[in-house]
Amino acid sequence: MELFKAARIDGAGLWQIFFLLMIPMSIPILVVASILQVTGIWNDFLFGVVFAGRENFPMTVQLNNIVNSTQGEKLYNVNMAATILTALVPLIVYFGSGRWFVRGITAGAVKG
Amino acid sequence: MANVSIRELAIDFGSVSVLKSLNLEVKSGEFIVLLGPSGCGKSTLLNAIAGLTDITDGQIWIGDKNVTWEEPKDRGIGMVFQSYALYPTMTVEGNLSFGLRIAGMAKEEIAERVNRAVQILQIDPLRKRRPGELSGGQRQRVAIGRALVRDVDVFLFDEPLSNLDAKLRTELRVELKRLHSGLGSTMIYVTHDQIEALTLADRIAVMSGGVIQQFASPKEIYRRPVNRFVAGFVGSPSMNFLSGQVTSNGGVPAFTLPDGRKIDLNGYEFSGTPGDGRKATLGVRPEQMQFQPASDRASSLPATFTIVEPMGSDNLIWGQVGKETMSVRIDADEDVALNSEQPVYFQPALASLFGEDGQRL
Repeated sequence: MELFKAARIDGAGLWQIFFLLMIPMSIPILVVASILQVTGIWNDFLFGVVFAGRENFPMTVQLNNIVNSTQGEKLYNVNMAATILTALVPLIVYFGSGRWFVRGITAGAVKG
Repeated sequence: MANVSIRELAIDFGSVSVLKSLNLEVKSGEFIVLLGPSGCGKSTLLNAIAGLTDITDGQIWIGDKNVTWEEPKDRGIGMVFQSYALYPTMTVEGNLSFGLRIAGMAKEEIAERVNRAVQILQIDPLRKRRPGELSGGQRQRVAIGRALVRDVDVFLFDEPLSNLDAKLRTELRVELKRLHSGLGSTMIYVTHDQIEALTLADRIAVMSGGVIQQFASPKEIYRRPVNRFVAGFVGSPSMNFLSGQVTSNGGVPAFTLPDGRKIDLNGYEFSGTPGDGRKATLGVRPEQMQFQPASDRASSLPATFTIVEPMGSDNLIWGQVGKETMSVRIDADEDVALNSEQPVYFQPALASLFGEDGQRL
């Protein structure tokens, strides 16, 4: 609160406070929000099955179709490869943004 | 430099009236401290001067301008907050120059002002650091610098030293005083720490319940408090109060304790007529009492002491006069006989007497 008072005394208006102070301060939490969005969409199953159509099934549906098929021989090597490929995208996102993710998750937990 | 004049200021939050028709005249270049317990309205008053709180009634003048409804940035004020309120995403330089950049000042001018501020506050090596990488004292310096670069007429401090440890607080206090004598700006400083108030201020406004109780020099506040609240609030440990009656001892005013003992008040300056037989409270500061009479005009109180508190440079001894608690500050080398009644001496001229309404007699 005192931060915004200080900015007002420095002469910043509402939008200047928003864009020059609040947005830069919120980067970690924005990153966390995007990570959760990306992985959430990627891992979505039911929406994909219902609305995407046969041509555009998401990876989760494809994986299910491969691993849970009941006909023929179980190709464990193919199953495993498919699982890794599916998990790869969330993995990359988490590893790539780990620093920001921890910062955003723990924001508010630390005393400024 | 500018004087600040607050006229009939009133602030209500809903149905709660925080400040009631308050008047305050601050001279140009003066260091004023607003002192009071939590919730007495001192921070609200400061926010009102800064323009951060809407006021209900009254006027605020800074210099020759009525700024009652001006934006904070147009008032010529700079403010330093208790939590420092530095912009965490910017470096020290960025913090200092933020206001100037927003005002659209030329780059060279900004650099010059920032340079001057970091020189004055001795934070030159820290320019590229962010607030998170600074210690408390360094952060507070940057916060002061932010007011400094804007070349303001009036500095407002909202408990700036409360978040620092005791040693650093003492250092920064001296530095603030030096800064004030160097700049000669008007400064208004809010605190609940009476030591800060007594050491820094040219004049102190002691506030309670949204009303200024006394506005005077630190010495005057300490020596001649106008009412019992001011007397009890300023001074540590606080003033000893004894209730009794003002009586006349053959023309000489005296103070009669509940047990009937008379204490000579010869030398006390009454502001009105003493009034024989009127109920009153006698106030004497712990540091104004001794076991040896300091002069032949000293009066004595019968006291029984039970506890000694060593404070390093001196000892604080606690005991009773009648049923009331009394503390006396004595030299650390001085010996005291405990658990037996003995006289303690004080100068009536330095004591305070308060009537039933709490006002000084």
